[in-house]
Amino acid sequence: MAAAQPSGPLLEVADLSTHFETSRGLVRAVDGVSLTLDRGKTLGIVGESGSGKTVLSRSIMNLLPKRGVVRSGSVRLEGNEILPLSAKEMRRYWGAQMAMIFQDPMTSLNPVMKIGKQITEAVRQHLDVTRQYANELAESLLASVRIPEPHARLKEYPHQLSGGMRQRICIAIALACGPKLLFADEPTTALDVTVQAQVLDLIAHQQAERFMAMVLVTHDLGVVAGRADEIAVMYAGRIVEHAPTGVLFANMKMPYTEALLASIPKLDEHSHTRLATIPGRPPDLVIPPPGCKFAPRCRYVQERCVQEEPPLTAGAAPGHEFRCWFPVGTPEGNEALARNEREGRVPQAAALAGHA
Amino acid sequence: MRTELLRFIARRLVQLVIVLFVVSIFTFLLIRLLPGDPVQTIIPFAKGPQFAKERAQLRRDLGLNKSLLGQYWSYVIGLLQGHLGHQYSSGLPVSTLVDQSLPVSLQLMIYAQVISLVFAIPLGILAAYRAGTKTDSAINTSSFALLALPNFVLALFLSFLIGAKLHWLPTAGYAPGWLDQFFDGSQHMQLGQHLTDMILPSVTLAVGQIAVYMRLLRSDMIATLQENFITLAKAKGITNRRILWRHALRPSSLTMLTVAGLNVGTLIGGAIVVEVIYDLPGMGEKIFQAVESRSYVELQSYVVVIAVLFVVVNFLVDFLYAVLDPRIRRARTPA
Repeated sequence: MAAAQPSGPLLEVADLSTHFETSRGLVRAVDGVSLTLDRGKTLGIVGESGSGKTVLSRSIMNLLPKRGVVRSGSVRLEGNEILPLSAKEMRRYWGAQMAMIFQDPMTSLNPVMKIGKQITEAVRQHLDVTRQYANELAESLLASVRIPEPHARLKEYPHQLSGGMRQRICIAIALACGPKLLFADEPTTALDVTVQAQVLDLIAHQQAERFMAMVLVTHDLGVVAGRADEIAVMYAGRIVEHAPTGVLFANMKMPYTEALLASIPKLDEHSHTRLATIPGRPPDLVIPPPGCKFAPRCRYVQERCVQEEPPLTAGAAPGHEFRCWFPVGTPEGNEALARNEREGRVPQAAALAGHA
Repeated sequence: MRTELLRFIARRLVQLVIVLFVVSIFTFLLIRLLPGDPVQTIIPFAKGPQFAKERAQLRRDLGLNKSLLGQYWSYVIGLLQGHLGHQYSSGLPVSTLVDQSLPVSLQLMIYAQVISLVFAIPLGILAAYRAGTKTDSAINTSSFALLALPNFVLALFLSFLIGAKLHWLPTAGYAPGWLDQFFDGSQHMQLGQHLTDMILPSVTLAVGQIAVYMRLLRSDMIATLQENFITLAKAKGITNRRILWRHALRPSSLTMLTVAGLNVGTLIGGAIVVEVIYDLPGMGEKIFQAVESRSYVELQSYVVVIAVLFVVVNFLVDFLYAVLDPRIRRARTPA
């Protein structure tokens, strides 16, 4: 076992880029992302659809198809570089060291294989155990993800269970071999609202009990608010703001983060209040805009934003980084917003949306 | 789960009976719709009016004096008791001829299906896994080349090269196999000789099917490999071999199986050619002879046997669906 450096971070990602070769050109789905994650901690990755958060988690795990995908940079797990490893070499890590819970439990389980088998096959692959032991382990895993009558469930097929139950099965599969790192890719997006919190709490409980690190990918800032230690906000394949959760909510600097938070419906608003939205769409990742990628949709946008891309700069609080020339809540930012209001300047995307 | 499966089978059995009933009507009418009079075929009018008495006798023997419904009734009762009529030239009961020839053709078709599937499944999996690569196009091109080869050309080529030139395998003759004794108790199994005799005919019949099955499996498999559950299986760290064979094959094989079932018709057509060329005493050869000698009654019986075979095989395919995909067991199919 590689318990060699219990002191270093579990996961170190440096300058990771993932590009897809398409007929239109190179799609920069993930572009120069760096992050670290310590044992037992949770990193929330937040962004809207198409921001590259799912591709990022699959790039780290090396679960993308081989053809047409170019990855560069570095991914270290417990100090070992795993980015260049082949699928064959990655098999030692998949399931055993790092596991993933997928977005849609309705399609993530094999419809023609019994649930018990789907759990035990990974166990039998990674751990040298008897069939009987693997079955007992599967049963106790089902019990630990709070599935009633776990013994009977082992012999059932996925279509006999509800979506929430299936996601619990997926969680049991992910937990089966005791991974150190768990990726949860929008684990509750496809579920009924009533079971979303249950499933998230279950994941958090198991994470704490097993001292796993977790990367929780979501489009919903509300989901990561109480659960993540740190939050990375992604936009157009880049991290645009990264901070400990408390810092981020107290003192967000990036207008995109602010806009994401504003678009969450609030309970204390009157009913029928129009929901805040972010005008426009994420940029075309084949020909990204030259300056800040969010500039076309930003309320704070100035000349400089369109021409020059802001670097990831450190904020006042430790661990806080953001990409912005006119950060929220700073004199420059306030001035930029005031100037835009004075001159009646609206973001390009909002103007386009207005015309449409 | 078990009761679900049983209920599924029961539902399908009811359908099977209905289909067989329809088949019996059609084969019965088929012969009645043919131009000409069977009596006139057996005792031509050209022979002169002095045979009128014999003709009337024959008409009674054949039951043709009864009403159409009456004829159908005795026909169905006969079928249910296993009476298929008599071959007019020899006077032998057709059921005896079927007992002798059906197992030959059945075994030929089983071997052909097994051979083509044994080649098509791994090739289809490999082609899907390596879709778009040189391996994929090599598999496609070569299997299509084999598909384009007519089976009578292949039969002649194989019997010339392997049989006549190299003397590796016999090109004609037949020894009873494992199935013959169940139809005709007088046959004694000579498995070694049987298998040697059957290699060339089975391969000839199988070759054209490989491309068909391979292509169907390949395209379904490519779709299956895009599924989320395949990514999840990969994320579990199980081997590629296991992902392909245990996870992807089963849900990808339904179209291929459907066609394999329907292909029984094609195979019977192919068996006629193959049996004639390799001199096998099977149904194909019997049908060929019956067509040549216009033995309609005999032919009608073969049509019934083939139709029943076809329906039963496709019933088995339906049953296989339910075994392969548990979701189908629940589906309510309109009976």
